[in-house]
Amino acid sequence: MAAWNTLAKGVKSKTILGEAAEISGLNLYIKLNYNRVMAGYSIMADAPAALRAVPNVVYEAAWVTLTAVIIKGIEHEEMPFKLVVRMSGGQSNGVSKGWSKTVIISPGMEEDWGDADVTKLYFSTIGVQPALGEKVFLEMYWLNTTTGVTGLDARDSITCITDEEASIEGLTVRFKFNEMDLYEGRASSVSDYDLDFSTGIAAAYIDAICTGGATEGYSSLYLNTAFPEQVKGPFNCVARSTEANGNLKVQLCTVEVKNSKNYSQLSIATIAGNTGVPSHVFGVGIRYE
Amino acid sequence: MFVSTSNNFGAGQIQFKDYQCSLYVVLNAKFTVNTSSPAYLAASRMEIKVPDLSIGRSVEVPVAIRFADRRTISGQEVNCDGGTVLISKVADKNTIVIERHRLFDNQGEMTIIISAMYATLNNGNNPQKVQRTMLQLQQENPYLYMSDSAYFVADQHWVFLCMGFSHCLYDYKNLPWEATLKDFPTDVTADVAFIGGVNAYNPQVCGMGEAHIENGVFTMQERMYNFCEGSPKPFVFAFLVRDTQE
Repeated sequence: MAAWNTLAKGVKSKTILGEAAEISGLNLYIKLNYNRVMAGYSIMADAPAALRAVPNVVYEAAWVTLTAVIIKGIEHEEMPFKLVVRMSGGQSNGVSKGWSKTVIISPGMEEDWGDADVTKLYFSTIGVQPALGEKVFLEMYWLNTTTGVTGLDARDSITCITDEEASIEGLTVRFKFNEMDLYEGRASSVSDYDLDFSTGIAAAYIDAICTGGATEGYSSLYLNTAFPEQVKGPFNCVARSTEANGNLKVQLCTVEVKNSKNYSQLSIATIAGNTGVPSHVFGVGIRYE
Repeated sequence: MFVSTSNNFGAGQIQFKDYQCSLYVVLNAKFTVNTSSPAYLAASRMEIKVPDLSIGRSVEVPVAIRFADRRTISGQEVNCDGGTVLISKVADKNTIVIERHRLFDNQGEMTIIISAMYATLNNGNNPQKVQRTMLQLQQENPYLYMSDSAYFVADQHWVFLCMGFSHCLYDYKNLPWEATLKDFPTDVTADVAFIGGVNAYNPQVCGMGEAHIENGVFTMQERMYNFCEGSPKPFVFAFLVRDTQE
């Protein structure tokens, strides 16, 4: 505890009344480890050698609609920083300070190329979607997952609007697919997928694990939600086997999304190279007509 | 064109051919790494320091790693060269990282071939498609045949080549290959990984050779000993920088 006491001497703290106060080594130990454990990290027994400054959250805009809760344009910070998001349930539009009502929506997430889409986390945590015109309070800060130190809050209040209004304001739905509901009527053989068409050029990005279907060299993911028309069509990319025997054989794959009457489908077919599964398909492919 | 400023795995200066813009970077490079060297073995991942890139991070993309393995079998020297792909990305504006895979530790000298597009994401919501040009090989006496997955896409600054092989005539399987790629841009000069083929003597990886493309002509001096004898079919998958844009 001596190291924690030494470290605590250089840390400024505040009382609940906002007055400057000293913090003990024990309190610092609890405070930093609380943050780490919340984010899924283990308790740190040894005091960090030093507490480096944590950056402030810089972002462009946040939207709350009846179907989406999303923060856009977050400036990227490298690991060990993770974003902590706190939000409130819907409040009367007459409430101007509701940050005390916020709860943790995400205890530590990596922003996704500038986005923090917390829709699912928000609805599962708060349980009730805000009504149109209600205000939702938002707090965000970076957490240094190595030391448990957090940065200053970025605070915002957002009025719940319709999807159409958000679209007019500039909220665009990114063509990224990674958490769609599985269609249970057929057995899927693709998992841990991340399919993204937002490269800005005629290229798509995929990262997925293929476990192989009934046909050799062919894996599919069956989903309940139809893919948008704009993302249909094939592209080729490379996969590497991840077999239990340690094989690292390489495959050329064709990736394609399509919609059927009862389900939508992401198919990954090996067209050259080895057909071993499971395989890790990853990288950028050029989309062609 | 630029050169690396340093690396953490004991390689010398690495020369890159590049096309860079705000959305992505296409890089071509070929260099050797000694996987038995203390520097390599001490690195958790290979890190190449470079001058400022146009992007600050990228998605993960494959780069090829290959090794030479010549054996004498039944009195004949046979080519058992092998390789695989490693995961690579732009970690920050000045760092390209490549996975260090434990399988290759202490395997000695290996060659890494980068023919990759390091893309970024969340760049707007306008998925596009392009027309591809199916690859046609021109040979006086045709002996090389492509699959229906052989095509290229020519951008002003780079070319994407996807070259799935079908087969070659048996008499040519051990001879040097040469074929003109009809309508392929003539301002591309690159060594590319020729991936695939059974590798019975290195069963954890696949066969991997090197081919060369220059002035619209594909050449390959030698290849794995059992190419042509059933699946898996080899292929080339490469993003290649065009010379005239530099």
